[in-house]
Amino acid sequence: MNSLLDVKKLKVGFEGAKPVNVISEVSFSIQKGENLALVGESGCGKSIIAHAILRLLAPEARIEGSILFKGRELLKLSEKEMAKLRGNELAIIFQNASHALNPVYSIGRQLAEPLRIHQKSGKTDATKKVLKALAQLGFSSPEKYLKFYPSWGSGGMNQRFLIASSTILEPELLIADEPSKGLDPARIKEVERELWVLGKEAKSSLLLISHDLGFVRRLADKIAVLYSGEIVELAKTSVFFKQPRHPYSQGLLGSLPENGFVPIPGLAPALCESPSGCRFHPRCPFQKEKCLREHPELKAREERAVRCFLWA
Amino acid sequence: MISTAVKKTFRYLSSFALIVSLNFALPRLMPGDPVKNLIGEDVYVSDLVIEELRAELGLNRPLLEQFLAYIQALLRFDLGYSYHLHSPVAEVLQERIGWTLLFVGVSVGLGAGLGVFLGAYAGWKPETKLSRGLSCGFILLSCTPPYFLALLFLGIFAFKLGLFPFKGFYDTLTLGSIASHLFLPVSVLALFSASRNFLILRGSVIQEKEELYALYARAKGLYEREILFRHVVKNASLPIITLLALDFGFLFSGALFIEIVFSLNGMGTLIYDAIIGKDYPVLQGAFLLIALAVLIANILADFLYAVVDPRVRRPA
Repeated sequence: MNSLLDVKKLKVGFEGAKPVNVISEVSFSIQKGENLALVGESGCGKSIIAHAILRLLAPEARIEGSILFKGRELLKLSEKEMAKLRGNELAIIFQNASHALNPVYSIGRQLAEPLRIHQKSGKTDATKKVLKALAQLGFSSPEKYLKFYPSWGSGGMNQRFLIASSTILEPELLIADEPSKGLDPARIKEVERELWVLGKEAKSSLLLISHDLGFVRRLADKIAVLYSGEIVELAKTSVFFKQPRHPYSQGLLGSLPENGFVPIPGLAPALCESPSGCRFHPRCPFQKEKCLREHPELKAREERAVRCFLWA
Repeated sequence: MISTAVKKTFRYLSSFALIVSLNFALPRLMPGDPVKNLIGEDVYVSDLVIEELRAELGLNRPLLEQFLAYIQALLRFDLGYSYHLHSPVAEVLQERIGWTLLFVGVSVGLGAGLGVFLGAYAGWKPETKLSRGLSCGFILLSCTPPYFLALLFLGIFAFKLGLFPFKGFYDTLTLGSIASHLFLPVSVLALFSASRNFLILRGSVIQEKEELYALYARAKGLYEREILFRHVVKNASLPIITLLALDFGFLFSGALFIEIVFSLNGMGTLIYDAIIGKDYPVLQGAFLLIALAVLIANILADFLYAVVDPRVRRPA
């Protein structure tokens, strides 16, 4: 079966005075209609993977490996071919909505833009669709917002404007980078419902990036846990939450309020200086001598893959 | 909303009042006899006439009365009488300002367009040879005094190459004649104005293109230059409005020098002749008019910001 998105051995580094590797050999795939969540602490490389898929990284980024989208190698496409996919079949919701929207153009114009770029829609036609999209995201009188500007609204409103803009063409794959960040619980519910509806009605797949595990649990079919630029555990959501296998995954779940609020000791390493051996060993309660020297492989067994010597 | 409008109006009115008072005070603060200054040193008049004139101008009355009379005259658009030109100052200014405004207006418009367009390109691709060359050229231009550039242009294109007429606004009052006469002076002022806009816009685009909305525009499927022109340029151009307003007086004074070089019969030559001939009423009138023009440019800029930048206004 052909996957919608197939990421193989993705490596991302940045050139500079001191070249750094930030993502090492990340592989995962998303089937049509399936939702995958990438979870992990801030600074573990989640957003970099998202931006690498859309080829939005700065020119000094080096990307290796392969990213197949509907069988096409995205890393080999020209910028022009990439532009045709972006916003159309492959869309992203950025973290910081208030900055992602252009301050000097109206919401109506910005939401209509994907329609005008990719479908060459006329003005009235585009406006109709924009109004529908706004209504779907819970704006009760959408006409009011056509001539509205990002600086006039709250962060939560802008987040919903951004979601409307990214989903207006019903992309086959939507990458949502922390869509629940900075929203109050009622708004999170709305965002969650909208993403869910998109998956059910438009058969969109979702690559969800979040550290809100509750949000992830309700939306994702599969979970990939990222630590220091590599996947340490990949499993079905139900399986993962029942019994996480990697010590880091266990730590993540243990730090949830409902599980006792126990923080993982230590700090996440910076992406440019990952520890030797197993990257998690300095913070791992089960570390052995071997973990300091050898780097464990991601080993698949019984519906899940774990990168830990305890699992092997 | 209403209170800011009131505040702004008050601020503009008070600057206007200040300009008017300065205009009243300056000739009276100058050393020497204002009546002699008014008439000019090169014109001989008898003492009797001077006394008559003093009484007629009200210079023998208390200062407050003089001020009130001055304001009353202003309200009738009476700016005094030029003894050199033998006509009311208001009429002289009216005749000249149109030409200068045409000259400055066209140049500032062209300069803004050219500066924004090239500056946007240079900021978008700062590493290319073309944009490096442009930056060097415009830095050089912005450091060159406009009258020097005017002399250079006049020397090369009019004297050496004979492509354009040397002086005046026109030979015959036709569009073609005016255009060929204005070509060189407008080029000089437009280039000078463009150089200032170019430098601002280049820096502004370099900054704005790193903003998240530019990346999101790319993520929406916009391609390269579309991102620049559909999303970045409008944000980056906002400082240009301030620059144009602040620069208006500066460019205006530059225009005066260029007019003198090209012997254009506008405000520049008028002021120049007035300074040489100590024609104070004309200078006073010109000062008032230019100050007023700068004030209006600032009001327009204020107004324009509210129109183009939604962050300045509130939802209706």
